[in-house]
Amino acid sequence: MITLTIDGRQVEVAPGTTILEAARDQLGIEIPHYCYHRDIGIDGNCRICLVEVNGNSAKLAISCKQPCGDKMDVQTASPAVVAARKGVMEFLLINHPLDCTICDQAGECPLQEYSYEYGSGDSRFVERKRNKPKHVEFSDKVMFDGERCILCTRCTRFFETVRECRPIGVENMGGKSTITLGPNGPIADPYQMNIVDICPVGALTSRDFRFKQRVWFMDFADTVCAGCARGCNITAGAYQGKLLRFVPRRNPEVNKSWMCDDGRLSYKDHNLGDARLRGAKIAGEPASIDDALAKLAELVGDGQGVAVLASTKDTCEELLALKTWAASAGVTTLWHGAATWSGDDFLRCEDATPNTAGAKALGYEPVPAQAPALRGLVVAGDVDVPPALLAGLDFLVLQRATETELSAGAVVLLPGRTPLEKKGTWVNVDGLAQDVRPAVEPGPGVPEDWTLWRDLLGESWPSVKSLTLRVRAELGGADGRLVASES
Amino acid sequence: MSDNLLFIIGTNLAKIILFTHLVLIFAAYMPWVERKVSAWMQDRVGPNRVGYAGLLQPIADALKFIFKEDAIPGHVEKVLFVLAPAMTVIPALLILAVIPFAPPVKVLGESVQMVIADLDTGILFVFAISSLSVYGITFAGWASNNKYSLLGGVRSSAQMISYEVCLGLSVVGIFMAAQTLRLTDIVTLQVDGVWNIFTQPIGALVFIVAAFAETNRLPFDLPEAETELVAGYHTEYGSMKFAMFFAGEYAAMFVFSALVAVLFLGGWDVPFMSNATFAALGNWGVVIGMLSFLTKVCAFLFFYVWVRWTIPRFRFDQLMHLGWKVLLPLALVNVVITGLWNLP
Amino acid sequence: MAKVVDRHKLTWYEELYLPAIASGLKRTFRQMFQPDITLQYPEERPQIYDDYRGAPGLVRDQDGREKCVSCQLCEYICPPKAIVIVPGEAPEGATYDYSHIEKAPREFFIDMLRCIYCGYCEEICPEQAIFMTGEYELNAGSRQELVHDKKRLYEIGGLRPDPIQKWKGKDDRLDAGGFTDLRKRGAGAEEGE
Repeated sequence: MITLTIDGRQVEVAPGTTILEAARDQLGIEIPHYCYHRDIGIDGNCRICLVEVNGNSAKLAISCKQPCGDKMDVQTASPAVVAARKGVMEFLLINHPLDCTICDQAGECPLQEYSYEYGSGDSRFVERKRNKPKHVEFSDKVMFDGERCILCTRCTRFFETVRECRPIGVENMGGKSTITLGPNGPIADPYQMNIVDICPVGALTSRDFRFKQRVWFMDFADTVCAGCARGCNITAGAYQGKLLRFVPRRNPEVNKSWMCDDGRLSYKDHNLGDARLRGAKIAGEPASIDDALAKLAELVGDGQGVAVLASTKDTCEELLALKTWAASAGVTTLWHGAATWSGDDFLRCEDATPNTAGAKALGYEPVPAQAPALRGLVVAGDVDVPPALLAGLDFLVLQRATETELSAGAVVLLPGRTPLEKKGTWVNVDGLAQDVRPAVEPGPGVPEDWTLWRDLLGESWPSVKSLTLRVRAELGGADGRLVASES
Repeated sequence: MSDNLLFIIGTNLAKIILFTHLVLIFAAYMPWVERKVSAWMQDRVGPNRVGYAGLLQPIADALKFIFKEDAIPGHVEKVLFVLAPAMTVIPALLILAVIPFAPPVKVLGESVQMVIADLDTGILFVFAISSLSVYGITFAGWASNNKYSLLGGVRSSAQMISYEVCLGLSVVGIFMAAQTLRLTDIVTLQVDGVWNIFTQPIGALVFIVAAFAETNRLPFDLPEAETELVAGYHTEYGSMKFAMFFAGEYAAMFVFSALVAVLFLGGWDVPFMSNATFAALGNWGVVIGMLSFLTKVCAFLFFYVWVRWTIPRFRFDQLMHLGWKVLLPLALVNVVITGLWNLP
Repeated sequence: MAKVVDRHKLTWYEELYLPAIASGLKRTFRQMFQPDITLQYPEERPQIYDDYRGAPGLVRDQDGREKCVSCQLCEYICPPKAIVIVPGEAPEGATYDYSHIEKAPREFFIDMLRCIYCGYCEEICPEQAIFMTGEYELNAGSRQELVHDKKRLYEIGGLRPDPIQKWKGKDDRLDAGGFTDLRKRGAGAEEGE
């Protein structure tokens, strides 16, 4: 182990640790950086992370690349360091168009943040700013603005190191350097929108989110992507109850800093608008939820010949409440329905639902190929019902957020929440239990799903927390691990 | 005096119609005057939209009042509620009967007094009737079934009773000196002699102050003090009924101005003219006398308005203090002094 | 600490009150002959100064370009939250150079029932696109009419020449050569696929 002092505080780090990492991980000191990204690696071109090592103010070291040495004395904010950073900021801003008024990055832009700290109020640069290609369509998902670019090359290095391809690169030299498309045309990589997130300035913007809303007006929730069984950690951004974007949230155990474009754009599926079912329906007629539940209990009767088919987009809490009710009503057949899509070798799983592992752990089984004849079927959540199950049914109960073509045949319709409105636990493909938090509120007539089963049971659980504790107890013995995710 | 009944009825009807309409026109135009004068005092312009200088404003107001829905709230005592506005207007008009407007006029060779009813006890009639108007206000307050209205009504009755005493006592000196209660005689005496305001200054002062109180004018408008009682006794009234309270107030102002003119300012007298001069001028004398009388009335009406926009409202205890502890002793002293002065 | 102030003892002259009343009457009478200071409003108009804070309006510059780029800072600063902006891309087929501006408000609402005329929007606007105008007569038959939309706001704001025009002609100065025309190459590649 190596012992060194950073800003007068002694830390002990493993050999090979860089100063930037040591300061960040051991002391919580955030050293400014643009080109360095912990999941891409070190480049050392932006020079903003300069620190003073052993009092050598004449030759500062870049903390992102300088490994810690034994008995090193590092100053991260000495006068020399601040002066150097001011110089770097001035150079970066010389050709930056300073068009924050129209830039989507404004509000979450390190260039903006550091220029508050190290920038000068006015410019000494009287010459013409460089003009470079603007609003270049890198693909149908990503837009590039060469003037805002500070050439940190995070985007090119993302493709090189993470995706192992080179759809974009740097062209020209010196002042005319700019990021450009490779000869194969628009970027086709299914993870390309990650370069929008890692771009420290507004040079790369999402064409989907472009000019939609300023980030400071939006509400953010740290939750989990519902797109597949991977369970990528995301920050969901919403404006006035409408989801506008998903952004990956770093979790080294699951998705690092990345997520796939399809998952990122899946926020659109959760904006239901007018299609949402509010309140319950009995035989197509609007009814109160209490009446609908009473009708459901009456239909199920002693539970003989009745099966429950639950969506694996439901949280473990909902599945547990449903299971508890089913057991008390005499229903012993518990199935889960999963959806699939094309997976890949990076993050995407074949299983396109986020909680299959949780459903399995709670005793739900896949629908058998030869389904037994049923009297009734209770479908909970957003799940495709195999047509074979519907034959010869006396009654069908649907509980989900929207009405489908199946709804016409359902005796009882109950409202449901979308995954982005739920609070609970999902277990991802690796058996990792993760917290799901609501990003938007569904509005009136849509109670939390688990309360339906609670009311059927007649229990008095005050909040989903009481169920979460039971879920943790049930999963804890199996391969359910609970990992607190970073925000 | 003619014996011809038709002549008597004709002249009296003519006088009634003439004088009543005179008062009502004055009552209609007083709000305009009030608004104009207050505007001038406050460096404003005042009503100037309807007709030249807003002169048609009273007609517009009247039309508005007439065409407004005559709403009667559900919680009121209906009979008294409807009766009250009339009861404030009628006494004011009744007092008119004894007020002499001008020297006697010659019609068809007959001399006719320019007063509707030349009563021997004219001044007593005035007091008898003027104190009736308090009933209208009290009834209005009572019938409205509303705390503010009731408070306004109660205040009004207390105020009227207090100042009625001073009002009566202040003129005792006059008829002690004149030795008559007939108003025409009092005027005739002043035409040849001196105006009573010079012989009875204390009486005049007390009478004028009491006149303000009797007509509920600032600084004594406590029955309708809007800062305390919303609008006092007429809070619940609208449309024509409210207009009648309004007209009643201004008619009362006219009547009291006329009384001040008759009792203290020499009635139709013009300085340096005697009864003989008026008689010599014939019917021109009547015109001059009438104009002189109306000029005095107008001047006092202006004084009414002038005071309103100058002096703030009294507190109720101050009002009572002034009435009972200042004006009443003053009036009594006046009676004693007049008595001593006129000792034979 | 309570401080006792003795009341001024009135002299007998003051206690008469009549002189005081007379002086009051004199004052009001004199006032009647002072000139009027009021304005006959619909016919006469008050003088509106340049810094008057009337209804906010959006302005165009001398080229007729709407100066607002929907940065939404006014929406952010607005204390009563009267402003709602729907941002969007630059309008299609604009006659002036939008290559650097890119962004323009699709809609712009100011709820004049909420507006408190503080002028923060004008103060914060980095584009000098919103101004407090001299417009002070706001009346409408419905609440909806008093929510000014973009069209109404440009009517109020009108045209205001901009001596700087910071976005103008930026593309004219594009350095000659040196950059691959990516748009062309992108399109060509797509065709080639």
